[in-house]
Amino acid sequence: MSDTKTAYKSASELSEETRNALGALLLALADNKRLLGIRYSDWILGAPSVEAGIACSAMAQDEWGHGRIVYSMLKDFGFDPHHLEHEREAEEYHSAGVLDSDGTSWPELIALNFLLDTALTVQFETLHESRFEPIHYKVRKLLDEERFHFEHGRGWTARLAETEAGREALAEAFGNAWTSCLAWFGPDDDAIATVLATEGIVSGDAAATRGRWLARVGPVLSAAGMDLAREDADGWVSDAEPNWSAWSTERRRVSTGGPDEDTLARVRGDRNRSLLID
Amino acid sequence: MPVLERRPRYEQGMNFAAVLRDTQGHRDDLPPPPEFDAPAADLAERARRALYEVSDPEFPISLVDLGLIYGVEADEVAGVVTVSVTFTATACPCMDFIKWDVRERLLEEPDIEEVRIEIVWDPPWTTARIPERGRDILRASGVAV
Amino acid sequence: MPDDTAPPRSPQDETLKSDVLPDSVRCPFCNLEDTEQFSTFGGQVSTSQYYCNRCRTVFDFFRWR
Repeated sequence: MSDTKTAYKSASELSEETRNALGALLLALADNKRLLGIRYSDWILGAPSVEAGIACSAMAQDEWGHGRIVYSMLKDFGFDPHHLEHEREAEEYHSAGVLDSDGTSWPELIALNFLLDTALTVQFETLHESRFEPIHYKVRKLLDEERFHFEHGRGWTARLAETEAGREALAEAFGNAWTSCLAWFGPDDDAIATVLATEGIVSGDAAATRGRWLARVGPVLSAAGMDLAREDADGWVSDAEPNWSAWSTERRRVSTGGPDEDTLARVRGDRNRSLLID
Repeated sequence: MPVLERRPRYEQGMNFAAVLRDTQGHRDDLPPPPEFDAPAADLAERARRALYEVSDPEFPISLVDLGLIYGVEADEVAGVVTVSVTFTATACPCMDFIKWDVRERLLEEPDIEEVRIEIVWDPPWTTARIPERGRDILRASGVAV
Repeated sequence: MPDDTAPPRSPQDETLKSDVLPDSVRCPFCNLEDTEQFSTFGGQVSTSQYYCNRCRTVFDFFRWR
């Protein structure tokens, strides 16, 4: 049995199994942050109010800042940062299916803001007291910033629910995003989540972390008239069942494929490649 | 298409700090550094004082007055200065500018041959880290703290 | 001094309120605290915006405390 108290100072101190598992989780977090930033940026112009547009601008920058911090750690996990940023194909992105293409409505963006961004935040919270010290020193600042993303998603969810048309649009948008976000945590016996929880790298296994997320978003959804999650004796649960037979523990998603052509070109910076000087 | 080697821009001889300064004139509106009663006791202190001349790119306030400098250490023999710096946000769009400006200013200082910059995120920066002088500067620019 | 020529805020300007931010902060111009939240996300990634009811102006507030 391994000693679960000693802190790890670098990736090289981890066992190969743990290093691979943490590397995969960090890559998935970074890719989701990077792509979510693009989705926020889609609404800097055209959001329902000037303030909402500014919020999207700030949240896009936050996501890219968080992505940058996590990508920068991956070199120690055997990844080539240049390859990660500019040379991957769609199937090599470890991002949630709901980010594959851009949304067409503001409620869809709010679904990403409230459901997916919060899912990533809850996962980062499991790294707050991580034995892997390099991450735990970076997570606090990130979590501070995410408090405002949560408020934005919660506030807009409630605001949209004030009208009949808004409730319909919300139900459709959140319904479409739900399974992809719920699946992000993996099945109860998820291989990577289990290794990381056992090693004390993250503070909860897949079921526990999913439960924390459901408890965070459930009451707000319920108040907005959505029955995606319900509270029972064990806490907040969802009756939706992602298609786990298609689950990839590395990519943390239940669908094949990846970002569509336009999204891929943007995330890799294809159009501006010839201008890259750094 | 030429394949450009990925190196930090300042190593390619591009003075982005100067570009930023020329376009936005930031250092020109920085308040003068405080007056000190005695010369700096050592190289680390001299370096720290020099950072009163390095501006935050968004507000007319120095990195020291904004409380972003977490520590300055110096190896006096080798002339190596290590600066621990944080940023107000992980999304800070100006991180590279700030790093270039710190390096450029400190290398102007006698006895400093090398500048190392460590980025620190913990403890996170808060407004509690802004000294009284910095609060006055910000208020004068219409920013509440 | 209050600027009586500036238009008051209209009800459409109502924005989302934050539980994390203080309800009001001291205005850097008039030094009074007759202010309210205006926008969580402000002119810089580190600032939120508040509105001073006296000066009838928006100002930036560093939101990390």
